[in-house]
Amino acid sequence: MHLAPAGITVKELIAEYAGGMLEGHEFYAYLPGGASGGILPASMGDIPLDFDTLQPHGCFIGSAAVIVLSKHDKARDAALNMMRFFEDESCGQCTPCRVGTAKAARLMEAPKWDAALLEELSQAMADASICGLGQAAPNPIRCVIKHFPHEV
Amino acid sequence: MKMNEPIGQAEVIDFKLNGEKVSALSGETIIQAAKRHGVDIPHLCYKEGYRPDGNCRACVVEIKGERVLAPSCCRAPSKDMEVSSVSPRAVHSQKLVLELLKSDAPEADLKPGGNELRFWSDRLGVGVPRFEARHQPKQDASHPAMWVNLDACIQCTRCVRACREEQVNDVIGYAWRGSEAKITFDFDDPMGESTCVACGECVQACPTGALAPAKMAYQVKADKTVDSVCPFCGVGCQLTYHVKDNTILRVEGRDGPANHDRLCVKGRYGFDYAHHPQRLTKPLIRKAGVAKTGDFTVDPTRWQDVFREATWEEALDLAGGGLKAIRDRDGPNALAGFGSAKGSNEEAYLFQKLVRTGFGTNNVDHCTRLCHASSVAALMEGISSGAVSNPVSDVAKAEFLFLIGSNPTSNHPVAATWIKNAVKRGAKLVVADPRRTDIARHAWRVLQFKPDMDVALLNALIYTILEENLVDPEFIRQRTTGFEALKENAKGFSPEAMAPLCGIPAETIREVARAYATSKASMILWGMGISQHVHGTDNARCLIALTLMTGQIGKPGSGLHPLRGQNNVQGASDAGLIPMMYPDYQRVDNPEAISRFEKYWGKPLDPKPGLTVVEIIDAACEGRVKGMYVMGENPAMSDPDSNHAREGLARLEHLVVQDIFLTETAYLADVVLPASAWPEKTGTVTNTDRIVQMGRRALDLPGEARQDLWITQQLGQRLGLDWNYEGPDSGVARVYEEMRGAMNSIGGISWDRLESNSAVTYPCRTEDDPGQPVVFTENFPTKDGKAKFVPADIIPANERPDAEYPFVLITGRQLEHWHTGSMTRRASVLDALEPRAVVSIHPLDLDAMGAAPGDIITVASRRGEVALNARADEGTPRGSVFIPFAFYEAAANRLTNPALDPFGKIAELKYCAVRVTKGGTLTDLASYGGGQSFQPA
Ligand code: SF4
Ligand code: SF4
Ligand code: SF4
Ligand code: FES
Repeated sequence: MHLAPAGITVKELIAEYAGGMLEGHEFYAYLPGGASGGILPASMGDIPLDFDTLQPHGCFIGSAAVIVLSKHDKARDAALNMMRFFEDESCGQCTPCRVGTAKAARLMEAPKWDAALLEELSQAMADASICGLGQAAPNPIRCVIKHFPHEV
Repeated sequence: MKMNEPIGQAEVIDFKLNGEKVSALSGETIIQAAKRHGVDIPHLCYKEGYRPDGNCRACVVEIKGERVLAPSCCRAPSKDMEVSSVSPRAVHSQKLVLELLKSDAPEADLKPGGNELRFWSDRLGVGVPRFEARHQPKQDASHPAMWVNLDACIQCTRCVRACREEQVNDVIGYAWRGSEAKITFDFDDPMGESTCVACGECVQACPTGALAPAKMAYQVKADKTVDSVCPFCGVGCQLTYHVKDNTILRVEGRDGPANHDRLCVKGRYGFDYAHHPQRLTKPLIRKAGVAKTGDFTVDPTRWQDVFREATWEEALDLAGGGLKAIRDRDGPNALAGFGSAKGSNEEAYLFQKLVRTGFGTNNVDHCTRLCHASSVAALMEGISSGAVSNPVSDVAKAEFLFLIGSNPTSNHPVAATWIKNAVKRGAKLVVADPRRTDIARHAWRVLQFKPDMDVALLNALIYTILEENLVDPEFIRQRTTGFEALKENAKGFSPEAMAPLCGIPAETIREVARAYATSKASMILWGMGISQHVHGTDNARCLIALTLMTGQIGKPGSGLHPLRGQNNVQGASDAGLIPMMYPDYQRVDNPEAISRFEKYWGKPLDPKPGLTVVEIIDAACEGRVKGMYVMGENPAMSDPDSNHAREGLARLEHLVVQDIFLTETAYLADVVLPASAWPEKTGTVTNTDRIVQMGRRALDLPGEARQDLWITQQLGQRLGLDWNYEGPDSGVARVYEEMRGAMNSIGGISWDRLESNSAVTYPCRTEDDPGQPVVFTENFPTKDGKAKFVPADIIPANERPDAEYPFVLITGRQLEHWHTGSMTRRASVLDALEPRAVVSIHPLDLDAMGAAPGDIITVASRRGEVALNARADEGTPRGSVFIPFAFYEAAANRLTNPALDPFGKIAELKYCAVRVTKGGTLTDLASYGGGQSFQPA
């Protein structure tokens, strides 16, 4: 847990608060706001982290639990991990979230993603789920497709 | 109750739907308003009449200016809102939701023709789903009536709402989370082992067949559907028979005024008795030389031991000829007839007309004598009307409900659901009964008073209302007489003095009295726990006094309702199937009525009231009544002290029984006439709410069985009556119209009106009269328009426990079985659910005897004994046992006391002294019942 000023960038955060990247690791991507705040590539590491600054990129700061990935990691693995988390956390009440998270996780396990179908699914989850969990659950999918197309 | 029906029509909200200006009524959701304007929005978890839950999201619409889509099933439009159900964005989500659900649906359609997921998927053009299917759960076929196929479940929770919010049985829950979320029965038990009462509401609610009738009944397509009424209890649920090849496949609830699509296990799953192999299909004549004794063993499969088959000609000639010979030799009063509250109004009317004009006597009665005769006696005396003041559905308008001597979750199950709904809505329920039954868990106060102490308890309530000045003086002054006598009588009945007698603390009695008297609208509902006592009339008098002194009558949600037992006990009584009244309660000793009916029927009539049920049996024992015609009743099982009743029937010189099975009574007959089951005829029945309803023929008769109306007419002709009722279904419409001509109360209810409306409430005097569900609003139908208080004193039960017979026997019914069991024990599902006779007893009493649940127990009274298995039941008071009277092998009425209430002539079926001992020998199972007709798939 670090106390940092709003508006700080992730690069500053890594360097000034976290003691830089570990030996043998290079900054690759980051999750600005917990499991549902989306995933951004290192190239977008200069965006100030604040309430309204990430929206244009389809992300949000949410709980401000920032997660940093290195070159050894894959954004798609992080995304799948989060989808499984949502699948588990879904209360099971509404279809888009209950079934959507499960189906999304299965689709995301494929070596090559069916990006079109995942986008269709993401749209319905975001539009039609009852609560924020289901509405934000597709964020990792959309970010991977947008920023890490080479992985999938 | 239609929960999301628009509340008022006044307020109108204008909004835009798909570009068109439309208006919603106040309280309407978008989906409802859209539907009224001809726009069907897809939906799955929404079911009309149920609380919308908004979980499936198939109904989402786009609302201008909103970030996400909105569920149209639970969203109300606001002024000038712009809504689209057809925008690409809305349709995208609608379709995707359907596709997600479809991807987990089984290949086979479990509800062909009725699968809502298929319907909407096809309608929106959702093709082969692109998602992988989930891991599918296994089928649960543990219940005789319903199968659980969770592979087809879409988690819409309609069944949860059906079970918890509609029927309030609280069995189904929704457990786990995420994609593991599923419906569960109790603690995730197999359905057949859960506390499910098999009302089937969940099955009817399920959109996919995940809950379905057992044995894949949905897979067979019906040739026809026929709208009718349930043949069991007085609630009068409307239903639809689904029929193929002259066999009922299944039954569904219909939107009738008393049930709004709901049914109970009997109505929904108790239909196949009509197809039972033991149906009588040929007239039978007693073989020469086979003696009649009161002490016999019935085996309907071995009818040949006693009877031979005959042609209708021979059987009718013998049946009618025998009755005629007795009439001509010994006079009309040597004959008597028992009609049935299970038959139609037309059958009841014609039966009493046959007895009165063909036999020439008023010796005609039916099982009303054993059920509400005392209630009716008190009601006639006090307010000159034997029927209910308000329908059951009025509980929705009441603030306070006083339910006494009634076990509605077993005996009036759908009525019980309205009561439970009322409690959920906030009404206070008080349950007063010596047995603590299921409904008690919904009660604000439970008064488990000592058996037989009704008057003590009720007078203490009256006392409190007087002492604390909670009366309605205006009502008393303007609309009643006899208040002073009531006041005078009440003096000795303070709650403090009555508490030790009735076992209810004085403060509780006072609290209940206050709540009853001061609520805005209070209803009293009662059952046979009130009426079946030697002081049954007194019990009812007290209840009537309570309503009158507080003015809790004559308003919506405020009144009294004796819950009628049989499906047509109200109608049969209305039609004159009672010894002291012609149709419409015109007294047989009233000269005006006599001359009206002598003219109407063209025959001289006997001006003396006839004998009642128990009196007829006594007269048969004494040889005064020599010949009887019994249609659809089973006095050998249903009458108190049945050994005595059987002796009386055996002594008859000539007994004609018309029934669908070889009942215990038919076993003693000289001629048995094979009759029609309810689904095989058309006719009207009148429910507990005074609603006359139309039942329509769904099946052809088996073999040579005939409609009851035809049989009665044939006998009439052989008794010299020139009857000729022409037309379909044995001239039923003609008979109805003749009956209507004799009954002002239904004057406005023509046959045609019933054919098109299915249900009309009486009183209804003219064709354009909508009928009056709530009566006594202005005055009472007495001569002076006022109701009369009749005070009551404590009269003890006729037979109190003593050293030799220290227990009290209470008899009654249970959910699955009807009366003497002749129908329900032959209905495979009902029989499988409750196959054998049991005696309910408090576990501590059982323990004290050194017995365990399931052990054989012998219950003996001064009149007979039965042996049956014990069922531990904490709701049965200590020192008492409860036995349902449906089981031939342990006929409760061998024990009961025929002592009569002096006014209603009803027997004390709710109280007699018995001895209870461990051990005994069970009677062999009859050739039906015991679960033997249920075939697991
Ligand atoms: S049949 Fe009735 S009681 Fe049983 S689970 Fe279904 S709704 Fe509940
Ligand atoms: S069993 Fe039927 S009604 Fe119940 S949740 Fe599943 S699909 Fe809905
Ligand atoms: S409540 Fe009565 S009328 Fe309704 S289905 Fe059950 S038995 Fe039939
Ligand atoms: S029908 Fe509206 S959410 Fe299911």
